[in-house]
Amino acid sequence: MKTGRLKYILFFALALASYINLSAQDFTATATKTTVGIGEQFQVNFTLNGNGGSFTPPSFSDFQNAGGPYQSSSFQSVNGVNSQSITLTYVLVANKEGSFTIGAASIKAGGKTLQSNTLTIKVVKGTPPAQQQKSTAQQGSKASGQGSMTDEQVKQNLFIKIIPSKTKVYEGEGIPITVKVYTRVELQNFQDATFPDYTGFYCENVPQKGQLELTRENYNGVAYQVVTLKQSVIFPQRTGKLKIDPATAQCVVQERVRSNDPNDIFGQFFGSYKRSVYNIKSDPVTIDIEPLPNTDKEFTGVVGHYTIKSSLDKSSVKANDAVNLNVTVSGDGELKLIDSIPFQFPPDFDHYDPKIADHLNVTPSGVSGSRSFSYVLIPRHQGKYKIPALDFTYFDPSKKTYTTLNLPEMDLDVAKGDNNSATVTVNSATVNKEDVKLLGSDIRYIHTGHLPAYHSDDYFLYSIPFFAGIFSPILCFIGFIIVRRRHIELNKDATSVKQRGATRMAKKRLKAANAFIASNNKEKFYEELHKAISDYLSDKFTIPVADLSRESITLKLTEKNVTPDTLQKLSTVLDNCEFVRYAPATVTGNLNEVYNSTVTLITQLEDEIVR
Amino acid sequence: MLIYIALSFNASASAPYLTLDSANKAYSGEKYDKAITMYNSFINDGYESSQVYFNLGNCYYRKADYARAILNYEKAKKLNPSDADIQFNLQIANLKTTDKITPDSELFLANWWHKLVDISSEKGWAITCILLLFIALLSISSYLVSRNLFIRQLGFWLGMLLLAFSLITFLFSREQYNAITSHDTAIVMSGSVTVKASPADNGTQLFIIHEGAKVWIVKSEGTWTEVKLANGSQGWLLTSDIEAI
Repeated sequence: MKTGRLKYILFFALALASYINLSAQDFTATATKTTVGIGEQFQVNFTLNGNGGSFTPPSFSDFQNAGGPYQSSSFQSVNGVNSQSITLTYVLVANKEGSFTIGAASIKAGGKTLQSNTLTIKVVKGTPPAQQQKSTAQQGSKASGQGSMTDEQVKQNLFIKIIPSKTKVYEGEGIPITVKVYTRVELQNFQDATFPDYTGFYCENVPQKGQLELTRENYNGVAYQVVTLKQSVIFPQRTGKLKIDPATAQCVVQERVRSNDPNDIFGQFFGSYKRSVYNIKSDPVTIDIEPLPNTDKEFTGVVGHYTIKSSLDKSSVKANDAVNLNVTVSGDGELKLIDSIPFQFPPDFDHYDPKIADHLNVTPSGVSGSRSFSYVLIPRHQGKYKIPALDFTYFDPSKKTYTTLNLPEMDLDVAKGDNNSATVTVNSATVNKEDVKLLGSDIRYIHTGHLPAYHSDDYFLYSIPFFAGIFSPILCFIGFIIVRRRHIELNKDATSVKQRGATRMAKKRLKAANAFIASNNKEKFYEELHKAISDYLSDKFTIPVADLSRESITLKLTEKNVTPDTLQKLSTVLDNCEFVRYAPATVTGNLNEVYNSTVTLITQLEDEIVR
Repeated sequence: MLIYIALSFNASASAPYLTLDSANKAYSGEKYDKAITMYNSFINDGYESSQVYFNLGNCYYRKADYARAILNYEKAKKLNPSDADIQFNLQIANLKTTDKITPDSELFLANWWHKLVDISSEKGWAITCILLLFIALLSISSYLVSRNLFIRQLGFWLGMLLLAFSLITFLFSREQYNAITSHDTAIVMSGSVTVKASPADNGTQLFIIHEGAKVWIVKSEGTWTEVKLANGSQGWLLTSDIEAI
């Protein structure tokens, strides 16, 4: 387009030159400034009065070429003499301090090669006063000394604005924001544009479609051509008043230059066109960001309007097989700020960080779309598990309330795994060790044959046979004790027992004598009595009856500590026995009484001898 | 009379023994499901035998259901604590479980006591108790009767000693009896159980145990049971997750 126009102009110029005799041909180089600051732009113009071609520019190696060459041409018709001039404009930026020379350019005109003059540019540190003046101008100012508009004109006819859709928002609420250039002049191009970096905001840019388009818009009752430079959606990450830095743009404007020469009819009719560069700058914008109201809900920090859904790809699975849990959050808002869903998985599950997939649409009205989280879960053991319900709370700035969405509880049936690989993976070290130890061993075979079986509640302890077994020996023992105690009781008085025994023995010995009491046979009675006593003593001291004499008896009995009283009694009885033999009449008394006294005597003897 | 009772017992026992024989045959034929059904029918008839539980444990072991295998081995061990086969198989089945719970170091004396108690069953100890009591009383009687000083001394001290032993064996028997009749131990049957600090779903999760782990029942409340592990950890779990031995 640009080159096309250039060719057209060249063709037109050549056509004119073919029949117009051009009087003089002049080729000059001029600079808009000879002293510039570092980073400042300036223009270098090469002007040829007449017609020419095959332009060779000088080297601008000391400068940065910020634009150009732009070509403009003008025609003049003075008194039938037409003259023409061609101007080539370069926009340069100085990079380093010092004095630099721009060499001569050459052009072919009228069969001759013309050389331009050289230019010396002095580059100084800092910003020259002209630049400062420009930056103080809020709405933009002339960048080019060639620009014909005044600051005031620029303000009205060419300006840039940052337009947020709202200036009072909640933290995290999206603000669609637009940078627009309003113009009533012939805006040709933008050389450079800077946009604010939105410090304190999270920024999503609306993707640009093709070329910039011009639209018409009324602003303050005046119709402007509007170019939308950039559209973004910004999400404030802080609260308070945040200032958005101004946007700047360098606009190339095509201006018509009217000739001041009254004779220049051609110029008066057509004028000449030239390109000027204007730097424009927007007003800063302040956004008032309100903090979110307090809430007692578990708030994930997302603002906007959302829906959420979750699903398990299968409801029953074998242990050690993977299950996918998909959660999709969709809606309007900054979905990228949701980095995870705070699930509480059953503790025996292996789970990994989710895989995140975004489908975001950034449009001039805001950000919308969906974000999907895909969790891989591996249950390690069989059982019925529940993935607990989950609340997802977001702040809805349009309703100014918190909204809680609920993810329902999900059931997962885990069947036994194919083998015990779970145990191996979970506890490999210990199990392996024990497995090695047990290599080649197995459980022992079942018990066969008839082992005793009981009824479930059939126990020996506390059963009747048990108590019988315990108490029968105890009862026997108690019985034995009782019998024995009575026995001991009876044997307690040792004397009476002995006496009873001696009496019984004496009565036995005197049995024969006793038989004669009834018949009152005195002689026989005493004979038997004597015999009994002799036998008793003979037995007692193991002395033959023949050897028994009164002396030996007395001796023996005295040895045995028999009391003299008893000895006396014995002696009396024995005397009586002898008297009866020889003089029966001298012996008197009841036979019964004698018998009894003899029994007492033997008993007494028995007692005393034993003792 | 006694013979009559013995005969009638044998008569009633013969029918389930038939089941047992065919169940053993099913096991050796590797038809474990069938064997399990038959052994269970024997138990459901009201009979109890360490043999049946042992064989049932073997069936479950072969089917790789280690939790049930352990449960039945434990039941068999309760009835016949001194059986080496039961102890061996229980040990092997325990190696197949996930949790390796290191028991709290038991006091030497308590350990020794348990081993001593496990030498015989409730019945064995009870019979020993009666026999010892009988001999002790005989000894004491001989002390009372005899005039011989040596026999009297021997009889007295032997009698006292045997009486003490008799009392100890009674305690052993009672211990075994309590072990059988009380169901204060259980085996975890669910694949993985989260033990909570309180009997509620939202209780703090304390630790996880897996199937086959042995727990001691502390108390129950509603559908929850408080259990204790061999290592001393304690917490609540759902009663349906465990089965008492």
